[in-house]
Amino acid sequence: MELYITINAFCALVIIMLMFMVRRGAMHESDQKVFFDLCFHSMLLLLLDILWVFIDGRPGEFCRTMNELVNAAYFVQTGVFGYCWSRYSFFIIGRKIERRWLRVLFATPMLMVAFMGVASIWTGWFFICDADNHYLRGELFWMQVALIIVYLLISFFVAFFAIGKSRNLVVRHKLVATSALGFIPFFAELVQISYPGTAVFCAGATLSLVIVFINIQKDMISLDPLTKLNNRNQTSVFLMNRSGQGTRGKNLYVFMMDLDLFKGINDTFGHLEGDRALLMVASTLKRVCGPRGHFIARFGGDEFVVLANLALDADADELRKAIESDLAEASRALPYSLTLSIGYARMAANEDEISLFKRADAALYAVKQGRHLER
Amino acid sequence: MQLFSYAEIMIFCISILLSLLFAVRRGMNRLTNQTIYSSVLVLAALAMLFCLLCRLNSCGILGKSVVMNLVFNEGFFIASVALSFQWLRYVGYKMGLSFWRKPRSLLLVSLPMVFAVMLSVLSPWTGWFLHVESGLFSGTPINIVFIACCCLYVVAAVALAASRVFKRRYYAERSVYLSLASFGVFPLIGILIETIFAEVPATALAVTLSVMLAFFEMQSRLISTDPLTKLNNRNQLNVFLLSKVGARNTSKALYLFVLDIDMFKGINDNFGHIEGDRALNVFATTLRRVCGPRGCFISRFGGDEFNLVAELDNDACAEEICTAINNELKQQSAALPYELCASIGYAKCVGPLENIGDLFCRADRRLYRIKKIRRERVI
Repeated sequence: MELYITINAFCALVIIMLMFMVRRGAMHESDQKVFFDLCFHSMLLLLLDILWVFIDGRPGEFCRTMNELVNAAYFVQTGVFGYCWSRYSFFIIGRKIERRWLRVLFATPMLMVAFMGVASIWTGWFFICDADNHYLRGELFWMQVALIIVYLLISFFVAFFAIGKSRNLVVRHKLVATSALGFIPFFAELVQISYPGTAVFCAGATLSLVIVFINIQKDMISLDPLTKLNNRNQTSVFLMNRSGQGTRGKNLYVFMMDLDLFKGINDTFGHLEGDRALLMVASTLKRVCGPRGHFIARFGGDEFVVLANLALDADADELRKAIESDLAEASRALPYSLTLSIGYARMAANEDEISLFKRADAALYAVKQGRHLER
Repeated sequence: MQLFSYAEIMIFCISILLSLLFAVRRGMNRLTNQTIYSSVLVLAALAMLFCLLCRLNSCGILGKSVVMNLVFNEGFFIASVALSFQWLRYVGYKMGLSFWRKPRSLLLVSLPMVFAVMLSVLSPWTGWFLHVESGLFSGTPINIVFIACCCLYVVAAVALAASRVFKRRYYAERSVYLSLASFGVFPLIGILIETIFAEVPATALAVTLSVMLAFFEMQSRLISTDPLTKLNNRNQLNVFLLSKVGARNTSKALYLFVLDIDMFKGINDNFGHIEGDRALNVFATTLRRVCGPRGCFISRFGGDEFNLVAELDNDACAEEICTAINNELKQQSAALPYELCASIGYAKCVGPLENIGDLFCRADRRLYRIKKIRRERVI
């Protein structure tokens, strides 16, 4: 029993630590708030389990009532936990359940488990407290397991689906987190069912949460908070890590671009509109360059960078035109004109990052001069 | 059942360590050297693995071989001592102590470890750390030497890290040092628990917990730091202001400074972006030099805009800071082909209910006024 408590207590402690770290990082990002809620429900489940260990088997009317209440609460919480967990899997890959009836369907296992869990106090469906106040599995216990497995299976299949769709940039980014959420708890539950009385599931769930948190932090480090594009730091990491794979016959092109008259937009229309303009540029870049598999980054301020493996200068010109026309289309409804100046440079053999960016910068400057634009 | 749970705990801890190792090796930031930390993760995982294998072996699952038992025990000793030593090294590296770069001092510090490893390797013949008991090796009372050696390193690490927790100079990095110090405190608690409840692998759990804490702390710093100048970034400024504006109860007032570099665009255009980056770094160094000792919060908002937050007695102190910054800037930029000059606007927070946006507005307005005066003066 000691080890059972130890495992649960340790997992609860780890989850508390994660919650603390998330909270400390100024949770204005909705990502983190949802993660915090998931941690909370996981921890509640663990704490109820620990509480049960201490109450189970103790004599007395009070302990008996407590045992029944704690067990009921535990089963209800398994439903809530399952629901939150699988919903988070969808959340991570950016999908929401739109239709109302689907959402109700999705919540049904949780509601069933909750209802039957509470009813078990009288009906003994999921559990019974015997004469010595020991917990025993009820006759419909298998139903609870099945309903929870439904939720775990949903996460499992979301992870499967994500691996299949990993060409999509948004999904690929979250692949590790989605897989951890989908596979680890599912297999942990299978082990737990095979070896009853052990605490394997909570360890599996906690491990997943740790992996998801590591990914959340990684995103916070390498992504620009406003546009969610890669940040400048990540650009250096990318250049350092790029391998020669799939780039035979192609060269690395660096595109340096910035918004024309951005300062004017900020001064005339306010910072909020300025942010909106930046987001529009980010969407354009994602739309045009994302499917082609190019690396997109925001260098700060109104400066953006695209790194692409292309065969010829003509391809570079074509990409430039594609970006410009997409932006022109997207910004048609705006009260001001939103245009990018784009300059590019092709990487020479063994050229280092600094001189490469210098040349791209010079190319951008030349383009601006050609347009007689002030930055 | 006990064995199953014990094995599960060890595997769980090792999995966490491996996840951290994987994340570190994916290398998000080449500017920080993570090899020492990686070695800490690897050694901790190894120590736990040997511990687990030892237990499995003595329970007969792996065949109860005496040789394996010896190997696992030795592996555990060596990995544990090496782990403690590497942790001390990591703390020293994080604190920027030059002591650690010199090979001679490193050798000196590693002597206890070498001594302990030697003792343990010779044990099968001399019976120092291990002796044969019912066909298997188990620890002897002299084992205490091995434990003392580990503790020596760990306590040294805790002392080093803790020494900076209370110094004002390192206030900004306090949480980092706290997490480093925790690496010693948690395992000590773990060892204590393990002596009371012999079946619980509390030390392994404690080590995992502290290693995780250090990792998340490290990542947290990366999140809140501007990659170029290593100052706090805009995010962190908001977090800091939110915590300060609400808790006003000292005699000093809260001042927000908004600074920007004069004609920075010109530097970028005439000398290039690389020189522009350099100018930003010089500026950041200046701010650290002038404002660090005064206990100000320094951050980069983005572009060429910086911020300071300080608790001061009156406006005169604020003016004094502005002058000090510009004087230092003049000195620092003497070696540069251009002059670095800053325009600084500040605003005093009027009360605990003030909106942060308003505070920024007032500081911005003052900055504009200063810039205007400067431009008119030039013309």
